[in-house]
Amino acid sequence: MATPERHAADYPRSRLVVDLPVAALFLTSLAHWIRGAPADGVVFAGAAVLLLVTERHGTASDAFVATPPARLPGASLIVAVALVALVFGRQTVPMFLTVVALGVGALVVEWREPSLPARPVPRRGRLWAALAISWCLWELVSFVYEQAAGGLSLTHPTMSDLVDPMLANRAVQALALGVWTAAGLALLRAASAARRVA
Amino acid sequence: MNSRLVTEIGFGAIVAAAVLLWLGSRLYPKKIPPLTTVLAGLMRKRSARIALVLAWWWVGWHFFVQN
Repeated sequence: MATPERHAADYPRSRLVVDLPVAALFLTSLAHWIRGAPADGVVFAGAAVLLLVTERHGTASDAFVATPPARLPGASLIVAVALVALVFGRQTVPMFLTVVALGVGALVVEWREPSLPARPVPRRGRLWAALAISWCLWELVSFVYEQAAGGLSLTHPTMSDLVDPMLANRAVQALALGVWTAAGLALLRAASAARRVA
Repeated sequence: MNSRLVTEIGFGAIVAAAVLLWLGSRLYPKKIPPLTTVLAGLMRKRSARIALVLAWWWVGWHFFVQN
């Protein structure tokens, strides 16, 4: 039996006045300022302010859903990015240019697409949200303890302190950067899939 | 038990929970929605998409560019 077609007006409107992702961006910006990374704070705050401006126009109509999805690169991009790590290593100018180009490209692709009418997220989807929030809170607790102990990362390590030594080898860097790129592409594909569902 | 071990156990427990949740969503997708289904629901909103893309980008920036 065919599923009845649903339109924008069929989905319930959010009762929240505050846009949670924008609030999360402002909070992340504040966290970066506190941890002594003002440049990161500016990036997150800038994105939040830009979103406040661009989201004033509300959601797109149903007609937008018929737009064909953007074509995304695949394995070739992952290999190319991993090669940059293998040849040049991290904390170098080529790595800076690669990571910035990938980030700007992904943000431009997603910013061009407007918001679509909300769809209900499965109730148990909150388990994934709880997991993400748990990670953020544990990282925050570790950071606070680390600072209280005078910045001793050996006794109170954050996730960065634990992962950083593993990235000393260029082969591991290439593998990790490849996984990071694949995760980004998966995120863009999930966004593209979300747009195709009316 | 020293403080470093407690911190590591905490991160380890979160990673283990993520693996269990992923396995559960593969075995019982009707009871535990896969992460892709949850993301597809969230990412219809531009602000959610930008926040997630920015979070992903920052991980790369932090570990591969920042000193």
